[in-house]
Amino acid sequence: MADDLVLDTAIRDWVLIPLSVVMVLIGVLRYFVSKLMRSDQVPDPKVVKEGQIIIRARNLRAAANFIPAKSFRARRFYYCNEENGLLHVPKGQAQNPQAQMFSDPKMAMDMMKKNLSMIIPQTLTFAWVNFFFSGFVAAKIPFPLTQRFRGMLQNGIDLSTVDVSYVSSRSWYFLNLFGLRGLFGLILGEENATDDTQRMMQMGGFGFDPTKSLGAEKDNLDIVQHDWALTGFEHRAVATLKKLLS
Amino acid sequence: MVSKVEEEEVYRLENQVENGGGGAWEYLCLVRKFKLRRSDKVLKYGFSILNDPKKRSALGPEEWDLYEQVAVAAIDCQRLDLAKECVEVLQKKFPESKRVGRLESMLLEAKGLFAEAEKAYSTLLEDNQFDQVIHKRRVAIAKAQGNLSGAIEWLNKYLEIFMADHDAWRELAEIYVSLQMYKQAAHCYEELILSQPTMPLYHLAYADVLYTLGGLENLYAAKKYYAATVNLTGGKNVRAIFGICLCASAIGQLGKGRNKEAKESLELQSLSALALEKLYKQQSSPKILLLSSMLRSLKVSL
Amino acid sequence: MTGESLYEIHQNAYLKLVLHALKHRTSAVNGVLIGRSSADGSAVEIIDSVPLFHSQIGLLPPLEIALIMIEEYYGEKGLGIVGYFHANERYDDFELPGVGKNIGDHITRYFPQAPLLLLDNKRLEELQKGKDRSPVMQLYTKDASSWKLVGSKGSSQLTLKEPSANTVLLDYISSGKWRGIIDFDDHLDDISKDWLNPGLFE
Repeated sequence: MADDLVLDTAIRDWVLIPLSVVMVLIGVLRYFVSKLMRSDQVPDPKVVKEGQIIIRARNLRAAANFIPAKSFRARRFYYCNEENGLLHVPKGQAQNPQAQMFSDPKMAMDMMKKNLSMIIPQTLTFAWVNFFFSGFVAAKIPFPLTQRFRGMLQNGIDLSTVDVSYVSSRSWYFLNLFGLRGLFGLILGEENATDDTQRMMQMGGFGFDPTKSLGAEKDNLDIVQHDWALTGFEHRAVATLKKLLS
Repeated sequence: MVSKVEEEEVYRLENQVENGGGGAWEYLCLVRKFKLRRSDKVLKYGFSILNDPKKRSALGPEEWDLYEQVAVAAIDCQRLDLAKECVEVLQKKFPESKRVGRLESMLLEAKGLFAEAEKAYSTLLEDNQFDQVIHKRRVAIAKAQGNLSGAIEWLNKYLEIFMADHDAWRELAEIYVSLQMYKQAAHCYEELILSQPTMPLYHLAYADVLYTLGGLENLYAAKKYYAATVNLTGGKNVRAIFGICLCASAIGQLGKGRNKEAKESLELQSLSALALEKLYKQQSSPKILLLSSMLRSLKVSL
Repeated sequence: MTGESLYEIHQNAYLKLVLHALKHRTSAVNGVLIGRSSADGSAVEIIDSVPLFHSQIGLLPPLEIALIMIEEYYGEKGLGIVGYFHANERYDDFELPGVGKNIGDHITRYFPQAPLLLLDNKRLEELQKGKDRSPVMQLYTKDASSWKLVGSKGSSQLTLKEPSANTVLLDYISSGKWRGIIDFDDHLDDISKDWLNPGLFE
């Protein structure tokens, strides 16, 4: 049965190609729209500062053995003491990102904008595709596939007898939606590619929580054993100089 | 930090450009990339590119970067007329830009109108309090007015937020040294060692500060950090080897009677003296006698 | 020591100090004066100078190395360190920094009449126009426990041995001679460079 299903060339000219072209054009358009709507994000001073504290604390942990014990202890106290240590997070002050989002309307606004620029054109194109092109078999993949791919490739066609290597128009739309990232990278420049998949990920696990990493860093620092590396250095210097002299 | 290879590349291009061999744009790009201070050359070659409409338009959007670079160079060379020209061009192109606003304020600063510049920077900071360059300009203004304690204050404020910026720590350390506040300087150098534990320069500077502070404990520590510098440089750093000799001599004077000098540390100082002699023999033979009499007076006998 | 002394500086010593300051325009520099005092102690002859450092002047170890070496070298010739020269980082800064005072204090312990010289940038610039025949430096002497600026009418005076020194200086400045000067910092970075600067004035 698969052999005698012949696709009309008109389908290629009137469904497959227009669909692809429209998807590319919409992608480009969306890029410019989102560029217009993007507001300059001013980072929260607290977040910047916490990031810097973590870098510094990490440096301290990594290179602790290079400074004298006294200096190390003073620094550890500075970071970890329970009153005003830099890494110490008072209980109850750790706010969850959800609450943070509500307290900062600008942040919510930003996310709205981002989502609007993504969702509106997507629903529109989806409706459009559904209206005009539903039910077409738009293309054929030149190799056979198993039944499991039916849901992916033949969305919108409820015929179990059609061979799986045929692609329905609605599936073609989805393939384009997620598969054009590389092309956008070429057209709009590397970092400008609108990356839907990534954005969706962002929406899921929104925001990272710096207070948590502060606490983790504090725990790490607390257990560092200071062992001044410099005591061994004189010994090594002797070796170095001997080598130089020989 | 600029690596050796990159540095040679810059020198090669610099020579080439100076001898009329072309490559001026590449040279300027490198200077900008490595943040080198070659203001006179940047001004000369950059300006000649900007004055040539054909070359200028060939740069595309990077033309504006060049304008900025030349403007800063001109300010550094006190060619305020040229700087003003560049800034005006940029102003026309980007009327609302903060980056151009920064240049304008720098121009004010170069004219010596520190109060006005300060005000301009403050307004710029209100819009974006994370502009590190502006924070640093404020330190520079204080320094230019000779107000070192003011500079320290600004730097400390800056470091409260950007505490992982080691260049700022280094500047702070140097200001403290020039004010002879060695304890504070030592703290800064510790911070620098923490951020880059394999940089011999910081170990050396820290050792120098410790030695300057004096006291037996500090001298012992200084000697260790000199030893670390010797290790990290493979014994090529003359300052560090001299440092070991100085420390040994000073410890010998201070710690008289307390003969807990390990055999190893004696070995280190005599080896240092030998290494110095060898280095001088190789590279500076006329000074060799001077060196041995100096070592004798330090009582670092062989 | 409140001795009123006459300080006479030789051309080469003078030129080295000023050229050194010109080479490192963006940082403070220092140097020591080498010479001897006359038999009765009323006059000091500054015969030579050694440019010392242009970075991190406030650190002790390099200074100690330099001073020991310089003393060893000139001691054999019957000369010694008789004073200190400083040039400030900023153009219009006419204040003697604490580091300079401390080093000066140290030198006076061994040579009580030791002067402190501070580069006078204004007068250095005005050299182009005028015919100033005096050295473009401010003279400080130690009075009891503090350093005092000696004005033009003070009892101690700094004079140039060769009156034409400033003309020579201008000539050297315009020919870019300052590029070749080597100080002790350079020597410690690369010991093949000679801080005595032989051949600089040939």
